[in-house]
Amino acid sequence: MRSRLVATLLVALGPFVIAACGDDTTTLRVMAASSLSGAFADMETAFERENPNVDVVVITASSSTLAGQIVDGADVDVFASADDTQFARAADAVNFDPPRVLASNSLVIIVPRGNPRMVEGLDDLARDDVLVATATDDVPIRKYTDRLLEAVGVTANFVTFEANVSGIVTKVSTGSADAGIVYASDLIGAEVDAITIPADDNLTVTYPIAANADSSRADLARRWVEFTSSEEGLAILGARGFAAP
Amino acid sequence: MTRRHHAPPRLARALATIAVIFFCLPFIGLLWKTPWSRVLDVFGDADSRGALWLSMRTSIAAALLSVVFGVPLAWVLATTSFRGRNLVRALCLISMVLPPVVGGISLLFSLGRSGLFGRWLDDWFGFQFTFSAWGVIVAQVFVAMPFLVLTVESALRQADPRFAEAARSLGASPWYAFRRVTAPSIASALIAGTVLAWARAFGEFGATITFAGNYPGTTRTLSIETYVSLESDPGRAMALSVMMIGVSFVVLVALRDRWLGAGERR
Repeated sequence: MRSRLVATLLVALGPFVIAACGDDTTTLRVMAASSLSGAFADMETAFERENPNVDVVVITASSSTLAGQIVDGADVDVFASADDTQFARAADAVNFDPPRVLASNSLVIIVPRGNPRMVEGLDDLARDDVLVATATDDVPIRKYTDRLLEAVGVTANFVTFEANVSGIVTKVSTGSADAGIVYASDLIGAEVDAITIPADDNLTVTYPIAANADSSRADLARRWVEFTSSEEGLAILGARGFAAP
Repeated sequence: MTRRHHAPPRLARALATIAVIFFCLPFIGLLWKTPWSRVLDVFGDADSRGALWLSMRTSIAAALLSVVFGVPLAWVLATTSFRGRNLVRALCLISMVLPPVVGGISLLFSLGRSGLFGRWLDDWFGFQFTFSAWGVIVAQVFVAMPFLVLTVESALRQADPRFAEAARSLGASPWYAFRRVTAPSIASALIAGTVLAWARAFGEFGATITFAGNYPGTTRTLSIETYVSLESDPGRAMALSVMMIGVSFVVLVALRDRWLGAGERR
């Protein structure tokens, strides 16, 4: 009888116990643009080594998705966005510190390995036989892509609007699409070939980052922001294909 | 059937009530937030109608394909025994529990243009599933057919095989006996399975965007349209959600307990 009672209690309370586990460390919630996922994962490891009682949770998605979540009240300690517009949108809802520039990035054309459609430059993206992948209107990479293409007067043959940059990379790396425009940093680890965009046509993308001043963990959040621009942080960003701010 | 059940104890009823509330809360929250003044405009705009039309066409095609291949599959799984049957069943049902994105990526690597098999389609016919409505249908069949197979197979296992045997002994062909004797006896499960498969296909998102892409008119289904709107125009996304809930709800209610329950009548 007693063991039945214990079993019933276990079943009834189990989910709550499991959900509440591991609360003895401080959790720092860092939201970052998808393109930063590799760099921030490396930084998480390094930061947690130096701060053993801190559990850094890095949440990556397109900057527009994250800004939307912040506006909707998501718990956030640090936000690193791939464009100023989405940062400003989030900063309207949450009292962030004045942002600093985390890193800069440029754009590059990616093609499947071996470049089957022989794409050589931005002009080729208008060809009928070149299927071009990009992202939906709100994702920063799309805005930069449109700005870049407009400046050179190219109407690209878009066939899909992905939810984020990794969607573009997947469509190109699997050979479904023939080309796409992504950040230079996305090349690290991607199974694609790159076609450089001449510096005169290219854009410099800067990433604003800031700590949430109203968070109960604001001090820790500021330490993370400082860490990203420390020597170690910059080395990680460099290794992940970003340029210094 | 006139089987009568005893009423469940109070504790069970209380827990069931909590479950019902849990399922209702999200809808109440959505309906409360929905900008009703815009709903008609959103339902009428060309993008939503295009997405709804695409979702309808692809999900109905996916449900029909699921019946064409899924019923024979369920028939084989339910009535024959061969080495590795459980493995085959697990392989055929795994996409039910897989994250849809994983399904989409697997489809890309197999049926995508550079995929193991998809490359032949491209070489021979210059055809690729990705970026076409066929890709949407393939993704939907992949995630939806298991719902039909599972439902029909369990009904076939419970069906009395003696009726079909009697038909066979009187000279009916296996197809004839299945069509005229077995299938009618599992009609409710067949309909329930088809509807479940259709509903899963209608709501499909992850495998579709991963495998087929997202382009208005060809691959942007209503669920993708809803997701895309969420960032640019949340009010529109809510109106579209109401549309999806409405369509699904109407279909499920139309089928009622009679089809979706275990044959119980009131």
